[in-house]
Amino acid sequence: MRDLTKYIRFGLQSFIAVCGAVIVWRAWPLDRFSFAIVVAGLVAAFIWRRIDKATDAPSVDASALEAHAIMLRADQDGKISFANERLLQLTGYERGTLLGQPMRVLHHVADAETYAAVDAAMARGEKWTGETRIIGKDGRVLWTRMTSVPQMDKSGAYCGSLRVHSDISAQKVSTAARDAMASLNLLSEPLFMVCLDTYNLVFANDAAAKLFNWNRLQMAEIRIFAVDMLYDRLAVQRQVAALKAKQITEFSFPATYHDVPYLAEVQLIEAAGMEPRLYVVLRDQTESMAIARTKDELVATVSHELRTPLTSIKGALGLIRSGAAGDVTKKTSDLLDIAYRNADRLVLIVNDILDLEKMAAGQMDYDIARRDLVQTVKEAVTANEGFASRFDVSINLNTDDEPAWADFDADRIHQVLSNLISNACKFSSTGAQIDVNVERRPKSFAVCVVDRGVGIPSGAVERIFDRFTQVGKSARARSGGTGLGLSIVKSIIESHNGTVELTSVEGQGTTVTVVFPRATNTATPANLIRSAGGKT
Amino acid sequence: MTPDIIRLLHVEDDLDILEIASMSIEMAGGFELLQCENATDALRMAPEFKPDAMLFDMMLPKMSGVQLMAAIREVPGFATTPIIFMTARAQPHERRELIEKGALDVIVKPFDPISLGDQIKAILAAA
Repeated sequence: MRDLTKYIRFGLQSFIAVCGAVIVWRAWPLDRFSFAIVVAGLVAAFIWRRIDKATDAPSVDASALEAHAIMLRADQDGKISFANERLLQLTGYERGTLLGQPMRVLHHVADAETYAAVDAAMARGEKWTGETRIIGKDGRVLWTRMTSVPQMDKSGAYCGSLRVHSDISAQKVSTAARDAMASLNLLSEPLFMVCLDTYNLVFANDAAAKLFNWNRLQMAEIRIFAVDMLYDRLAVQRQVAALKAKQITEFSFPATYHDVPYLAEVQLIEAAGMEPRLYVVLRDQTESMAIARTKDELVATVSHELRTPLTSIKGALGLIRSGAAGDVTKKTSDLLDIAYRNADRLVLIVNDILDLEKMAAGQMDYDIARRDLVQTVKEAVTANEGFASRFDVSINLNTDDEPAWADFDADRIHQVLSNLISNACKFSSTGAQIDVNVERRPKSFAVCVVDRGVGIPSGAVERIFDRFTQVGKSARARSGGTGLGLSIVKSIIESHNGTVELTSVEGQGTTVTVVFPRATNTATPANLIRSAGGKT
Repeated sequence: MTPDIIRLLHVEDDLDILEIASMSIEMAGGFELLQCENATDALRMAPEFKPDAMLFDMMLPKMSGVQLMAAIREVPGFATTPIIFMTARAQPHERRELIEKGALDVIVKPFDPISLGDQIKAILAAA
């Protein structure tokens, strides 16, 4: 409508100008009166044009403002009385829904203090400018730069406010991205991103660029598999393929660069609108490897330093008991038995603590090979018969002679079974029987150690595999126990991809079941190692 | 073929263990024993004693058991003499490494004093 008026006005002005020119041409030479009329006409045209320009200018500015800015007006009660198209477009509201609503429907909850400051400035009749967030109908957040101007009535009283916002969300995002990149550059650990399709470098922080001597201008041409780091390329390529197939989302691998050991942690990042990238961080392992070496040495030293005196104590006591140093009285022999048993117990404690240390550090060494589980169970039962007779308990082995092939470390599984059988002996009553059953399941073998002893209170079953947990206060139950055995059992069995379960009824007995996966290839391997006292 | 009387060279820096091992081996019978507290004495006395087998502690002062094994292999006549280690460091990988380096077997400390002599005989007989 405004444009039509403008064209009519322009046409009228042109018509008058043409008429004026015709009159001047026809009446030439002009007399004084005609000359005065022409001059007056030109002055009137000039003034009209100026008025047109003055009235046109605001309409152009308003249209630009409408297209660019978010505008809304509130009445003195803070209710929205006007909302421009841009606001509706960006927030997703319809005008009818928004008008009459309090302004706060558009306020971000985190900006409460800012809007309180705006309200205070309006009440004082002052203009306010600053950054605020607007919340859209669907919860979208718009960062804006807002100017709020108080509106006064003729008497000078506050009657509302006019707010003009500029959308600065894009600027905020790019600032955040720039800040993030700057932060990555400050990281001391080398970090880089690689395009998953081309394996070309997309980004490298300062530490990575310095480490690999990468020129930032040529970075995009660098193919990551061409970097001369030492690592298992085949294994890494397999892992990357698994990442691509979405079987995994991250992995890590050891690598060496210029004799420095690193752990490379790789993660797949897929963000909307961005090509998938591999995010790689290199963690220097020099220090952690040195610590691991020190710990290893410490474990070895403690092992040696503790076992050396124990060797002498146990050896001396053993020789005296055997009569090598002459006859001993019954009373002396009984006391020697106590000393010898406790020396044995001390050896077990030292062994258990060292085992746990190794397990915690992931340094437990397993000699896993295809073996017959039945054979190892038989050996463990035989080895514990002496211990069982000390408690006047008998062990009943229930198994057929058919081999049960599984992959395990014979010494460690012997240790596990000995622990379970000796526990069963300790917690059984005099004259009781312990059952050791080998069960053949479709995909596994289970060894169950069943006692009919005192059982475990239901509240204690959950923590029975924790370190230093002992149930039962009797001297019989506690003899020879370190409280570490079952946590070691659990750790060893889990290292064999097996499980350990314990069920118990107080007063009736306990069953501990260890389950081993069957060997995957059921055919007897050519290099079969039949378990024989743990020797391979 | 194990001789009737086994001439055994035992190297161990802990005097208590030396004495206990001596009593254990004497109790078992069938041994002629020479004991040394360090590798230097062992290297000096071995050629004269002419042992049939050697029993080395692992952690010896100045020269470790493994270094002693390497050194004694250089002495003429000792290239194949059976060497058994007696050590508290007997993780499966440590045992494997010792055997790969030329040891015949490993006896774990603390050892059983009653059966030590028989254990040594059994290892030598199985070789």
